[in-house]
Amino acid sequence: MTNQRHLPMVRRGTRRGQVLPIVALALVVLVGFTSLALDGGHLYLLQYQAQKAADAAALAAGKRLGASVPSGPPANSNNAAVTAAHDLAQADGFPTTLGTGCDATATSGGISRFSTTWHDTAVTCAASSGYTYSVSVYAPPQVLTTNCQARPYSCLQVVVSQRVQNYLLGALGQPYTNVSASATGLAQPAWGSVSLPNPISVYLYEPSTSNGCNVLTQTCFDRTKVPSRSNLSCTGGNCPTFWVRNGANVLIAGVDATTLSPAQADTVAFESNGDMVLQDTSKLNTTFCDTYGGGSCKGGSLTGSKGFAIATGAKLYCNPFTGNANGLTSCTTAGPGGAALGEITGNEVAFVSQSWSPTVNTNGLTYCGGLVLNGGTVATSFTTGPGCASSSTDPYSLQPGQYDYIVVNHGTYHFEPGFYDITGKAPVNTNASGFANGIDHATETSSDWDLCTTAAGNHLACPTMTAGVWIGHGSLSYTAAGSSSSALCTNGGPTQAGGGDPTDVTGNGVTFRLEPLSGGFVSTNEVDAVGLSSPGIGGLQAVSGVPMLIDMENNSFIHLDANSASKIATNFVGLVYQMSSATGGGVEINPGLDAKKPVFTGQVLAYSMATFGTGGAGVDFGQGPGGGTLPSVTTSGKQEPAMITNVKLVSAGAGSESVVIQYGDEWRLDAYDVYVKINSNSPVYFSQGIWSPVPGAGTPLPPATNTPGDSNPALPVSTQDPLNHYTKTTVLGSPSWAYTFADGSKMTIVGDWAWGHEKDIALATSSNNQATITYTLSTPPGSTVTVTVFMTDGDHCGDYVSATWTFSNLGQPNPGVQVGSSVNLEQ
Amino acid sequence: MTSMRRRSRGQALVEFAIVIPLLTLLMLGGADLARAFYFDLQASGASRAGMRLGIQGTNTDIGDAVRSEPNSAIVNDTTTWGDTGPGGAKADCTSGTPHCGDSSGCVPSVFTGSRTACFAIRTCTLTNGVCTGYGAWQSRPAVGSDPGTNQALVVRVIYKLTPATPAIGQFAGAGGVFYLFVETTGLELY
Repeated sequence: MTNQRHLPMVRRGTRRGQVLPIVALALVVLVGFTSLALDGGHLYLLQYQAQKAADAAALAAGKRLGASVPSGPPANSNNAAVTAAHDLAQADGFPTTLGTGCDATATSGGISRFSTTWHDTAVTCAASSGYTYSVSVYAPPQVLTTNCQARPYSCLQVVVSQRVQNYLLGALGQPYTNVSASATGLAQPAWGSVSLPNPISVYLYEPSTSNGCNVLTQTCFDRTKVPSRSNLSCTGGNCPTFWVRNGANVLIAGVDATTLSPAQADTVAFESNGDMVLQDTSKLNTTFCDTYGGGSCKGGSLTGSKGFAIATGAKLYCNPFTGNANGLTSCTTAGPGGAALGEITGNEVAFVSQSWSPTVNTNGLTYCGGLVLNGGTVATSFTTGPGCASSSTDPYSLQPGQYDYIVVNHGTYHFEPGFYDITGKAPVNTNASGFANGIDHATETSSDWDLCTTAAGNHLACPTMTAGVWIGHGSLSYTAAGSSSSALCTNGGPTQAGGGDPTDVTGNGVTFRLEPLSGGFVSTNEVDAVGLSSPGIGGLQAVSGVPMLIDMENNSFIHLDANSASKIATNFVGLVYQMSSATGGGVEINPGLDAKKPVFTGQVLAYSMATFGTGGAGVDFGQGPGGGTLPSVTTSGKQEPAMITNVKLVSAGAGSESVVIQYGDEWRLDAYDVYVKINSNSPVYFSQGIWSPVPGAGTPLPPATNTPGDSNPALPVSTQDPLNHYTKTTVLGSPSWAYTFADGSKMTIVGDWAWGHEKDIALATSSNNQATITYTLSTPPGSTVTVTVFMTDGDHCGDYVSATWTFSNLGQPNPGVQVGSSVNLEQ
Repeated sequence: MTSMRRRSRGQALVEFAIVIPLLTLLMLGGADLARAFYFDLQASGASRAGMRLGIQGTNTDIGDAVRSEPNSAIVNDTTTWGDTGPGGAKADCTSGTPHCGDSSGCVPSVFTGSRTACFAIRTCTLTNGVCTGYGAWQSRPAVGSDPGTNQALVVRVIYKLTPATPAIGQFAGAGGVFYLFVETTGLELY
């Protein structure tokens, strides 16, 4: 009892006296656990930082892989993607020594593999200690994601590792912990992400009666009846798939598939699913040209083994239009008037259905409303909707967005680059005087017989005709042209003249989408000029980078026409597509628009196609798909696309190729500002040889303080070229000046050009100046070559042109440099 | 026994009085350390988001990516980010505007009022993994300007942490705060 009573007291007393020792003991445990937390937190933080470094390295490597679509793994650590992984890992805290010592290659699962490891100290490749940092690269990755399985050589895995010295864990027998993180970069080259239609110049899918088309319920051609059409649509008419009207001079030029990379077998230039009618009275002017293997086009013939294809049972009628069905007979080996048509045997290659459609994303488009332009500023011309402001520098410019409709009755306007989504149809004008409130049909004349008639020569007024985009010319009031800073500026000046009476419409890098409830796209014969081009490949995300000019999602018509006497060239560059489920409508091109060059450069996929007018040429697909895009360039004048009359990429002997640019303007070319930019390389200026000193990295090009001799514009003589960098040769009687760059590439200019800044050029005022710029370089890698050209004319406004083209590269076995590639992180 | 008990009691109290500050310090210190780790992680996430956009994007708002990174708990408002916050003078990092992030590189003096976070960007030339030739703060190459193959973008995020532990605050120097500093370098290639 006593013991039992005393014992607790003794114990209590003992505890009371030992708070400090107990706390001291507990403190060891407490500090220990705190240190564990410290170690753990520290490791957690380092782990995150390692992931950060691995991500940066994998993204950089992926970006570099995106610059070249590889056909195999990297050869060694000197590969740009592998080096990029090293550099970015180092920049983000994982310094190692770059070297090829630990490079290894292997093959497993049918995939060649590359791997390497770098350390910060000299240790063996497989060392597990003796270093602090290590970085490893696996290409393709050790474990392939779905995307990487599809394109293993577009994936690269980076593993970064750090041996971390622990605080307390060291005392517990764990002095080091390995912190490592892995990331995989997936390169998505621009070319690979763009789904382009097959390289067929014209593809028409109106069926023929022989392949099941019922003319009573569908729009297709009835062989027993005269070809005819009603206003703006074949619905109710009797339209052949491809109809060349009397007097037209049509060239259908296909792509030379040997210039594609990898080179393809011969491709068909033209495909028709139904009956075709060629109505040339005196001679057969229509030219189907298959340029395969460098073959040249022969006018008025159907050239090449695969020039065209029509569906089995469909027919090609070559006879003159005689006004009755009995006049139609199939083409034979002899054409009308005895013209030789030796290549035509009716159906050389079977018609193959092309099930292609663009992927279009209209998210994020600004709703603008309906627009009726009568020479006023864009912002004041909206008839419905909230409207969209123009750019701050040009009140006569249209901004991309969603429009109910767009009508131009009068004026000079410019479409800013981007996506124009048209949802409705334009109203027809109802005002008798003042400004038109819709499409003003009043000035349409017999020149528009092809637009609204049922038979040639019988012009009928078509007062109710409408479209989603209507570019015409009216008779009602217009707002006078906006002022320009100089009367000598023929195409606008720094203040961007616009509006006025004549209808002139330009736009580079534009895409029109005509939604199902909208109408078609029309430009009439009263229009002064229309110059529209689509974005290049990869240029517009809204259409998945497809070089789309017009995407028509209905059965209406795309009718392209303008006054051939216009002061600037009318042409359309890009891909015209009508929905593949169309049951009527199609494309109408008036080749009389411009006799100098192809009216339409690109590709047509439509239900039907008709051509009218005289002279000129039709569709040229010889340069491959794509149009131009505009990089942002600071300039004083106005964009004048017509200055460049032709751009092509040609072979220049073994291992090299040339970009050939044709310049044509009423002013001489100002050679000082000319540059050519290949892929993502730096621009190459012709004037570089007179730059002294040459601008350093990061400074503006060309040097702002280094003005050439403005007082005496001339060719590069010694006063202009103190360094004697230019050489003069003679090509075909014209002086040719050449400058050779440090990398061995060479630029030559032949023709009418001057040397100086536009505002001071006195000798640049003659008319009809022509020049040719040739830039010859070593063939760059890649299946495509993107060429950007910038030049100014010699007027007093600094009018300029800047455009980008994507060409199929010439004879490159391995695809390579791609512009606009993206990279994803595949974790 | 009575006197002994009284003595023990006093001794316990004294011992406890000695121990309590030590324990408090340990706990607060641990809490501060945890907070430092936590916010360092948040800043890392934000900085990483900016780096990714620098590589992947062309015409994109790096500032917005940094501030609205979903893995970062740093609040996306002007109170937290100051004039590099949404709507702030230096917040818009879309192409064509020169104000991308802080123009001083987030020196401590920018942390006025209740501001706790700041970001800044600049370019550098990357040679064998080493950044040299830094560009000015706020500047990013314009779209289409082709900055070259060795151009890198440095995304800096700094978080101001005020420790709960007074003593730690004293060690931290002026203001008694820590500036958690995170930088991520990525390739800058259009």
